[in-house]
Amino acid sequence: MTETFRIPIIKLKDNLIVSIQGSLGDRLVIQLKEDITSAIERGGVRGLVIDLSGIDVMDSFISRAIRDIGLVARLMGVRAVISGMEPMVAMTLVEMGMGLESVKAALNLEAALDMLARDAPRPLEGFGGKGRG
Amino acid sequence: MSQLETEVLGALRVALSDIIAKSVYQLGLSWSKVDTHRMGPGDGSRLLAELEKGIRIYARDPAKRDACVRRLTELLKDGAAPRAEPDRRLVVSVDEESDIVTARGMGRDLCRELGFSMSVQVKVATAISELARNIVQYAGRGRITITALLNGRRGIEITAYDEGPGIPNMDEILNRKYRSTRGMGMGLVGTRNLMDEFEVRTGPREGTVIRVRKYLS
Repeated sequence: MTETFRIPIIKLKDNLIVSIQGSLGDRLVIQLKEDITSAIERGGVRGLVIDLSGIDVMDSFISRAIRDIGLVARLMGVRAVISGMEPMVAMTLVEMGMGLESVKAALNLEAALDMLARDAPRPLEGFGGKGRG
Repeated sequence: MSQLETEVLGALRVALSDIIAKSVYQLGLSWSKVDTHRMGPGDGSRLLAELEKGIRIYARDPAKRDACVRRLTELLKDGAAPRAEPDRRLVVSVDEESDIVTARGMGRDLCRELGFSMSVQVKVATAISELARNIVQYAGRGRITITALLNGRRGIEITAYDEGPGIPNMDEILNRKYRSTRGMGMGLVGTRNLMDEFEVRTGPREGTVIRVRKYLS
């Protein structure tokens, strides 16, 4: 991993997608938090998906980092969903006593995007004179 | 100096510095009670076993270490005297974040070899990750040994050593009354939950040693 490596953030319509692979270190986590918050700040973002399908071992540091990113996004008005957690990783986290309860989860990336689309606040109706008629 | 002695020292220098190579060789001779001028049946294997212990402790580069052991095996193998299967031990020095990945990969490979299920492999790798990350974050540097327990109850043992500041509030952490801002409390409690045995020795002047075990059955 080179010094300049950072985790790419993909913008798809009004969602941000981040796929975390392998291992996260202190530096990458800080960089990722900065990158995500500034992407949110630029506007036009309503949801964040953190895809974990590339993670085969998740320790307390990584799970805390992911939880923190989810909470920061939420404080900025963006709903965060994690997706794609490996079954063995999920079982290990539960056994350790770390449930990541504060972040919503979906089976995979597609389900996460569906979840965000479904829960998206609908535009207000009945104000523009455009009835359902 | 016997011809064999010269060759053995040469092989040790592949993986070790000159002074360490000489000490490992001398200790190997005295522990195995082998005289390189009068090699009897089984002497080669006995000396090899002792030298290997030293190499596993002191060699830092895994590739050089393996090359060194291979060369010594060629030199000393005499085919005689089968010995009990020794516990196999891997040592990883942990100085930076990339060592965390190395350590847990080695642990996982050893688990697979020992026949642990996939889910236990992940648990052991996670425990190693926690222990290695503790070293990097709180002590800066240290080492992890991963041992295959082959005699008696089969399993894997992981020991994390560091000479850092020690963990002053260990009891609070293990009783879940304390959480650090970087998640260490959860990490140690989680590791204890994942393993069959969990043991800590820590103090402000002695650093920290954490030893965990997971058994095959």
